[in-house]
Amino acid sequence: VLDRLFDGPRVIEVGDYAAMFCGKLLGNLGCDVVRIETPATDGLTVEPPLVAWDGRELSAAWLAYNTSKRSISLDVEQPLGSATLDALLDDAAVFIASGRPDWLERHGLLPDVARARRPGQIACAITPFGLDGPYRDYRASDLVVQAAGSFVYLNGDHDRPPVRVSEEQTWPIAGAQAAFAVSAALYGAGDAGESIEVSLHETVLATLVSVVPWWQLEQRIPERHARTRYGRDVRMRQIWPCRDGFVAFRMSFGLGTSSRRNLRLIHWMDEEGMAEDLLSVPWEYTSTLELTQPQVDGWQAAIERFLMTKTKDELYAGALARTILLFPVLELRDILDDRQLAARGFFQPFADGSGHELRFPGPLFQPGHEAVPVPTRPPLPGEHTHEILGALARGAAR
Amino acid sequence: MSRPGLLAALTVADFGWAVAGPVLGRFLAHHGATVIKIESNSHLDAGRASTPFAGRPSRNRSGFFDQHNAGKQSVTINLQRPEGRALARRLALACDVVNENFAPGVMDRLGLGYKELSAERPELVMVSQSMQGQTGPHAGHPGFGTTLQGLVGLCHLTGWPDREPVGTGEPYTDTVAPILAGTALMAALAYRRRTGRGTHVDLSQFEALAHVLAPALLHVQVSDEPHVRRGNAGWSRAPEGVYPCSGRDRWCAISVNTDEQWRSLAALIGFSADLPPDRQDLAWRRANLEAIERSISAWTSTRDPLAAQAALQAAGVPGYIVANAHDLVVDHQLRARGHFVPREHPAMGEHEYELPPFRLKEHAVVVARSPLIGEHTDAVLTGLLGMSEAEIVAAREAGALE
Repeated sequence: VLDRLFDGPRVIEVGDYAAMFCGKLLGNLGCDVVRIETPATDGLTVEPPLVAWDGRELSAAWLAYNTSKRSISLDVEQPLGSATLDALLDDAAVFIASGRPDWLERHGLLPDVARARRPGQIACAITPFGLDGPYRDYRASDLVVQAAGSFVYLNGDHDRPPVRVSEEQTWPIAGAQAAFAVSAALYGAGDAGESIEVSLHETVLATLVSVVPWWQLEQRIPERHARTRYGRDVRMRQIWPCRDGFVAFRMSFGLGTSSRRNLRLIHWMDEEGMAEDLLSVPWEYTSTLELTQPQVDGWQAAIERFLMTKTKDELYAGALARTILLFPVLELRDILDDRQLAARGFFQPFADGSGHELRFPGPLFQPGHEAVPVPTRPPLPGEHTHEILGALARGAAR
Repeated sequence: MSRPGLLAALTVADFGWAVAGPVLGRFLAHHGATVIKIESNSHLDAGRASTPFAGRPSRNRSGFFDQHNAGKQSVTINLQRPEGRALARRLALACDVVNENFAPGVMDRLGLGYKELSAERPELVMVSQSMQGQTGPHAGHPGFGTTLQGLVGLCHLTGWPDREPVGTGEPYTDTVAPILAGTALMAALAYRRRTGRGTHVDLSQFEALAHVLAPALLHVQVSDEPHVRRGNAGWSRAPEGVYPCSGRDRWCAISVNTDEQWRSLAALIGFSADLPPDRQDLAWRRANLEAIERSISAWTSTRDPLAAQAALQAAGVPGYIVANAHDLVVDHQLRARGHFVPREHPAMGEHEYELPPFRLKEHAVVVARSPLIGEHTDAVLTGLLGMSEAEIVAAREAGALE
């Protein structure tokens, strides 16, 4: 039996996808995670898109974010459920609760309430806008929070409204930030425990690379630049059409290895008689600040003519062989067949009760030696209710 | 917050450059770790050359660098020279954690690979964040965060269905991977405390995003429905979108999660239809989305975005301005929560730094400025490595500290 990284500290988790993702990461790293299904979040088990699993239709997100944990059903809004939660928390090192602040408050799920009884505990609340401030009780959605954190403003075409990422991001990212804070407390808090709160809104800001400094230092507002990037005023393609889809590639300029790698693409084009006049472009001695749009457009047109003769697989194979900074633009289905992920054993098949298999994302990372963090299959909602409450009753009887 | 940070006893040799590595180092510094950035004047961290700048461009005035290296110390070591590599090795071995995000193989070539370092110090924890991990046929393939998003599926998921994919404006993988890497690192440190053994955390940025996109990756295994960009439309909500407000490029995001929220929104914007409001369920709203969105746009387009946001939220409808850089720094919620903290930077002057997205009650969360290049070279070589003044002079003369 391989060691686990965390040596099985008990984590109790209740709430939405943020708590789920947090628990998934901690479970993957060796915590003993128990998820509580409660009527207020029951809707999440059947939120579309749905996946057939064990003779029923379950939310894909619920399954994906609940690997490496057990699940019990408990109505934390009722006195009996609330008392049972209290008893469970007495044995827990960590309590994670996510949802709207008023819901957490009404049902005694805030960190300070849990910690008043158990001062050494690590308790964490994850909420859309934080536990204080004028917008504390604002209503949220993934789109609304992505927008509030400025992520949306930076994506999209100039002649259309800005756009989100079409898969929910803010809940898992906030769950990851919570997992980082919780795991730091598991490592460093000792007897003091910790009271943690995470705001989805602020986790979006933490994904921005240099948006706030643009305003602070130059009073400039970075704008969305569909498919293009770089240069203050010159727009350059970053996503390019090819014969059967798209590839991602960025021309690089200046002294550095990146601009030398442009040349490898140009040489490839030259091998096939398609380099046109690009062999004479002094990539290394050109600053992005000197470029003009017609110049860039001309080069891009030549590159585009070459890319259109090849599929994204052919282009990726060529880029790998020549070390060209190009990636295919994959659809999600393609990712399941990716050779690199397969070689690292990333996807892990789990079967439901009828033997039907789905491939789940596997280890969080590949360790250099022992302590392989391998996830376990997701439970069914409430699958471990009897097991865990039974153990609790036996403990109380003793 | 009477106690020092959760990682106050931890020392980190931070070889991170550009974004993903530095972001992780900064997170550790927020928890009070001593994070020693190893960089060089002769091979500058791309971040120090990146816009925007406070005034004239200078390696000590990049706002890009400042943001991702806040709270660290800086030691300049020239890794191109054997004397520099020897010093870097001593520094790495004197720390608890080595943090790096080079392409796989670079640390090995510098004599700083995990195998070599752990042979001398088995309890060392190293965390590596490369594009696709340290092993596998594509491990060595370099790239940028902005183009990696093509591989991880984000490009196809961002944009309009009738247009080319656009992807995210920010190199998203660069800032998401470090959160997962930091979590794994904490677990590796707990493991070391228990067993005395170190770990190499080989985190792939590709795999980190696959964990986040796991719901869609499950769904495409069982469904023929395309999982691609849908503009701003959600799976199970309608209406949901970004609508124009008064002013240039001003927008408000609105989502209707429930029938009740729809009735509130319909009343607010004066939407009327033949069907009574209590029968306008999700299916009906989807079928009538064009008329609904026209009505919403007519209402928002005459309003200031913040006024629209306030009216929507007062009615219990999820809505928020589509914030730009300026909106963030004046955001009432972020201000009230003390998200921005002023600090004096010797080359950049006073400006505000951001808190991490978590608040702690028992331990300090440290917010400090970024270092000048090489600012702490002598102090670290003396304090951590116990080098004498003469040894430092000799190292400098050998070009090891450029």
